[in-house]
Parts: sequence; C-alpha cells; structure tokens
Amino acid sequence: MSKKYDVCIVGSGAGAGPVIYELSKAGFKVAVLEKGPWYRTKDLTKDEITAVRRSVYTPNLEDEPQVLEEQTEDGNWEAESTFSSGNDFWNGSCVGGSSNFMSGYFFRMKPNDFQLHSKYGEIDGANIVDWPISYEDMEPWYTKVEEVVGISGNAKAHRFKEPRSTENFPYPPLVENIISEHLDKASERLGYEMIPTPRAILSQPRERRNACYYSNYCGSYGCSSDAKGSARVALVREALLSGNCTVIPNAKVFHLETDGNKKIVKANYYDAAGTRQSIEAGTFIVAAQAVETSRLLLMSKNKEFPNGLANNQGQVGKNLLFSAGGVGGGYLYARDFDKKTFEEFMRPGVFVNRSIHHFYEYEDEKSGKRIKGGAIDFLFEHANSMTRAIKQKWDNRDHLLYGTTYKKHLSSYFKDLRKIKFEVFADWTPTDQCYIQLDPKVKDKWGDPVARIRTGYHPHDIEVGRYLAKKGEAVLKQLGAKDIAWSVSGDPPSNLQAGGCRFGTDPKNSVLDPNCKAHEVKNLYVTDGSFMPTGGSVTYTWTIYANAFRVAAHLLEVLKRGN
Amino acid sequence: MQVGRRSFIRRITFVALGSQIPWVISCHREISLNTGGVLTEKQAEIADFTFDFLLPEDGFGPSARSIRAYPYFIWVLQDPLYDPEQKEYYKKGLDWIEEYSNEEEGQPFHTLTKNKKKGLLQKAAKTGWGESWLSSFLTIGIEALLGDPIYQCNPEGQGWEWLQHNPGHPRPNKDNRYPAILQRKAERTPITKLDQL
Repeated sequence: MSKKYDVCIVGSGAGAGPVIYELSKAGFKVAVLEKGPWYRTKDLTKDEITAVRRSVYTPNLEDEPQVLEEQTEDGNWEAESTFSSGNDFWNGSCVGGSSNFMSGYFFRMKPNDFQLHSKYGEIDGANIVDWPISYEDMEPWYTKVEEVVGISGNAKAHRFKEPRSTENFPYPPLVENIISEHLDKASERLGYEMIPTPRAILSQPRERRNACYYSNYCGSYGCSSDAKGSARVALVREALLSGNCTVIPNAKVFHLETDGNKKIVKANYYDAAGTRQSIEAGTFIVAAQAVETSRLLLMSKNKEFPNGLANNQGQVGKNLLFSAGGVGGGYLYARDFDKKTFEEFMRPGVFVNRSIHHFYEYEDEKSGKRIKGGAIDFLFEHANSMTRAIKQKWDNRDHLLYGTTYKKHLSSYFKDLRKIKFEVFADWTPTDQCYIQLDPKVKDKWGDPVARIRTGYHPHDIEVGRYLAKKGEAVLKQLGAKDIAWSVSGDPPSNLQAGGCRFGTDPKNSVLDPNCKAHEVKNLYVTDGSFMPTGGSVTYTWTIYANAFRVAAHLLEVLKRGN
Repeated sequence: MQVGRRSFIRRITFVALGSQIPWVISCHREISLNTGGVLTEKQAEIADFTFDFLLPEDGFGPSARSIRAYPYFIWVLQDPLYDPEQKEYYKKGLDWIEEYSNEEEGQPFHTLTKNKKKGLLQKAAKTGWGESWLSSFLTIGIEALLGDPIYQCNPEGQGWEWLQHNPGHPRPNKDNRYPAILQRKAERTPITKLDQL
C-alpha cells in the first residue's frame, strides 16, 4: 500500500491521540500506524489471565525483546535481554497504547517544574535544564484535556496548587471508600495537606462513553464502560467520526525515509502478515512512547542522517526519564477496627483518591537549601487475586509456604486485612547514564535491532524518595495501619517513561524545537513524552496529552498555511 | 527465595534408575492421568501428586483436585504461546523429583508410599532447586484456584467464594478469552469507521 496522506502518525497512545483527533476533525487526511492491534471495548474483560498473567496487551518477549543495562555493585554496566531475564519492560502495545491500562491518576505539572534549573539550581552529574515554555503556555491545554479526555475531581486549595483558568473539574469526584475520610483526618493530625486525587475517569456518562461502574479492576485492565480516558476511546475512536482518519493496526514501522532534502517522504512498515508496506504523507509525527520513538529515529539511518534521523548532533535517545520514587504500604487488620468500619474498608470498587503535594518543595535540614520534592498518592493494594496470592507464597524468612499452612495464611490475607499503600513520585534527574541506543546484537522477529536501555539513576532521587516515603509512613501510622514498610530504589518503572528527544531552542543540545518539530528535519514532529527535558514529580500522562494538544494547534496553523 | 529460572540447573546430578524398574510395579494407579501428549506417565503422576501436596484436600478450602489444578497444568503445557523455557523448567523439575527419589529413597517416585512421597517433597522444599521449582508449581496451582472457570479450572468460582473475592465483571467469553483474543494481532484491515469496532 502506498497512498498519500496529509499526515502520518506512528503510534496511537496519549502522545498521538490529541493530534489524531484534532487534525482529523479539521479535515486533514490522517493515517495512523499502530504496532499493536485495536482491542475493542467488548474485548476488554476483568480476566486476570488475559490482563496480567499472559502477554496479551504487550508483545511476546521472544518476538520482541528489549535489552536493559543495569549497573552492578562494582560500578560496571551489565546488559541482558528481557527475554532472557523475564523482566518485561513493555506496556500497552495496542491502539491507545498504555493509556488503556493506566489507573488515570492525573496531575498537572506545577509552574516550578518548567523551570527546574532556574528555581533549584545545578545538581552535580545531572543535565537539568529549564523547559523552553512555561506553565502559562501549557495551562490552556491542561484545561482542554479535562474537557475532552474527561477528568473528575475536586480542585481543593493547597499550598502548591497549580493556577487554573477554570474553577473546578468538569466531572465531580468518583465515589470514595471510607478510608479517604480516615486519611484526611490522619494527615490533618500531622499537619499535612491531603488533597483529592483527580482521575481521568468519567464519574458521569457522556456521548458514547458510560460512567465508571467501580469494577474493582482499573489499572492494568482495559475499561469496560469507556469511562477511563484512554486515547483509544476519548480521541482515536472519536476521530473516526470525521471520516478522515485511517488506523492501520498491527503495523510495525521500521524506517522513516527522507528525500535527500531533509524531508520525510515515506514510513516503511511491516503489516500483520509481515509484508513490507509504506505510507506517504506530507507531515510525519512519531509518538511511539519514549523508548520506541528514539529507537525508530535511530533505526532510520541514511546518507543525510548516518547516525539516525534527527540525530546529527547525537542527542536522540539521550536524557531518558522515568519516574523516581518508590512504594510503601501497611495493613489494616480487622482486629484493630470495629466491625462496621472494617467492613467499609473492605468494600471493593470505590476509590481512595487521596494525595499529598505538601512536600512538592521542602527545605533540606542540613543545608537549608530548597529541594524539589514530590508527590505521595494513597491507594489500596490492587484487587488482582492471583498476584496477591502469589506474593503470599513466601514467609517472612523467604521460605516457601505450601499445604494447609499456605491455605490458612492465604485465607487470612484475603479476609482479615486490607493493605493500604502509598506511591512516591519524584523527579528522575536526567543524567548521561540513562539513555536509549540500538543493541548491536539482539534483533526482534523482523530482524530489526532492539532498544538497549541504560537505566542509570542519580543518587539525589533516592534521597528525595526517602524523604517523601517517611511522610507516607507517618500518615499510615496515624491511620492505624500496622507492619508498615516501604522501599525506594533506582529501578525504573517502565510505564512512566519520557525524554530521549528533548525539546529546546538550541539544536546542539535538543532534538526538537519548542513546537516539538525536529530541528534537523523539515516535516517531523515528536508528540509523546520524549520531548520532556525534566519530568516533574507526578505521573506524565496529563502533561503528554496537554502537550500533544498544544502541538496539534501549532500543526493546524502550519498545515492550513500549506507549509 | 527465587532462583533465576533461565540460569537454573539442578546442582546435584544423578543417574535416574527409573528405567530399570519393571512397568508392572509402577503401574498401580486405577485411573491413568491424561498426559495431554506433553508429559510421560511418570511425569504426570509426579505432577498430580505435587499439586495435591501443595494444595491438599484438608477440609480447609478448595484442594488442587477440586480446582482441577492438574488439567489446568496440562492446558498450560499445551499452550504454544507460553514461554517454552518455563514449560521446560516445569517438566525438568518433574524429572528432578524422580532423580531425587532414586537418590534419597533408592526407588522411583511412583513406587513410594503416599507418606514417603510427601516426605520427599518436604525434603525437596528445603533445597534451593526444590523450593524454586515447587514455588513455580504453586503459582500454577494459584492460577487454577483463582482463574476464570472458562479455563476449566476453579469450578463455579469456588476459589473466589472461599476467599470472599470479587472477581469483577465482565467475565471472559469464548471470543475474548485467552488465547482467542490474540486473533486481534493478526488483523490487517484498516479501520476507518466506528461500525468496524
């Protein structure tokens, strides 16, 4: 197939959805090449075997491994294929991408996040820079996401509340478990500000989407009511109504071809049968999630770009980001609460939806220096029964439990307690030790080199994570939870990735300009999280959506000018 | 404690004596197990006993037999998409138990009394290789305990009921269960209209 479109978009997740939606609706012919399938809403069930225990929503690791480089205790870097290690680094590979399987904890970045370098200064060994745009530039697009994708919540005042152009969220908060009130009281006793967590989940129905029905299975599962604001449901499906959008599923793009004049003319891909195909278009947008976006650019080598597309300055793949932090949790035991309260705690489905941003900035006790902190989200342990039961196989000395002993332990775990958790989100400080390159040996099933991901972290992030985790621990203690434990590490969460194609004004140290157009390529834009030079201390998805709407508005102007 | 599955080998090697035992001695089961074409008779018997050992019929909640752990295991082994190295590991472990029986008891596993079999597995659980392998088997048992009955395990949701667990809905059907849902990965037709969805 070789047909000329106005725009060809590689990927269909949060970074692609807004562009697909806006350009299609404006009358431009849009082709979307998505490596994974289109799972319909009717395909999405609460089956743990499908959603969690098998590689259904992600590629088979034998077909599509990646290579992770981790630092050993002696300081060396060791690389291992994810097929060999079993350490799956993929997340949602399908129309809508990982937004189908997110929990939808949505926060805006804060004004200081756009000026991390100016506000908090250098950190030794880090590559921190300010963004080339400000919070004020992004605010209208954050607001647009609230409306178009759909965000529910209550914009309560607090010391680090982001300036808003509207009073409140367009959808009221989702129904909460009684634990939320207990968390409010616990944090109040400590003098911490607890705020409601906004969610990209509809609390009320709207056209073609039902409200949340509190299924008890949100993160890791596709939504069966279309309440969750995935790019698939909120944007790509809506784009089909325009009659201008063509989505080609199971299309793995392996090369973007230029014309010798720094302009892309063709996206080459393999279809579901493995047959080589191509799409011609006037403008190309890559939004395949940070790792795969950099990989595709690095694979798209030619005479003009011998080191990969848009990579003549060697910046593609550099300054990869994840989200720093960790997790903690404690147990609410039936014996510690009255019967009615505990029964309310055990109520499935309804949400916790509480966060602390009180420590988004704090003063270092030793130096007195202002430190960029982060966020703490509170949630119940995921309802996944197999995952919970598997964790209970081991006693506290790491010995296997089995037989009647295991069964009794399992029964008690499910009936006599509920685990309340917190997640800590801090900046992943960009360094020279976190980047993407092509692996020289390991290939995918099409024979293309796979991404080799070095996952180095900065020790500063661990310090911040620990500071925040201690605050989370204090809240759980106040709550009456027991056996509290937490861990903060430099392990990268694969579902929270950004960077690799920084935006900026200087082509020597950035891949993209402030509109996310590649400095070196006339008609290439990157609209997933790759553009982010720093990531803030919240989950990225809302910012990725907002930025993609911002770039879409710019693209509309450019395309309407016929440029 | 988990041992890296791909780098794992049983550290004690032993020449199996199983093949020297006349079949007539070993063939003591009244009902032969369905090996599914993926196990030998001896492997099948060890697997079946191991599930009973891990999730016994003890009057406390469902047992491996009531949740159909063994047939579920056969389904896993027959799945062409399941990690082949992991499947090999499950089967290798069955052979290791046979070796271990010969080594410790001087006779094949299937000739041991029930108590001796149980004792042998308890002993294996105290070794690194045995604990790791039994753990992987228990994971299969847990999937059978809490999986959807569409996978021919957890009949009538007895595992969910026992643990007072709400499995959520919608439940899978024949079209969207694993592996039928993977047919979506073969679709080539471009999608341009809502009514294609």
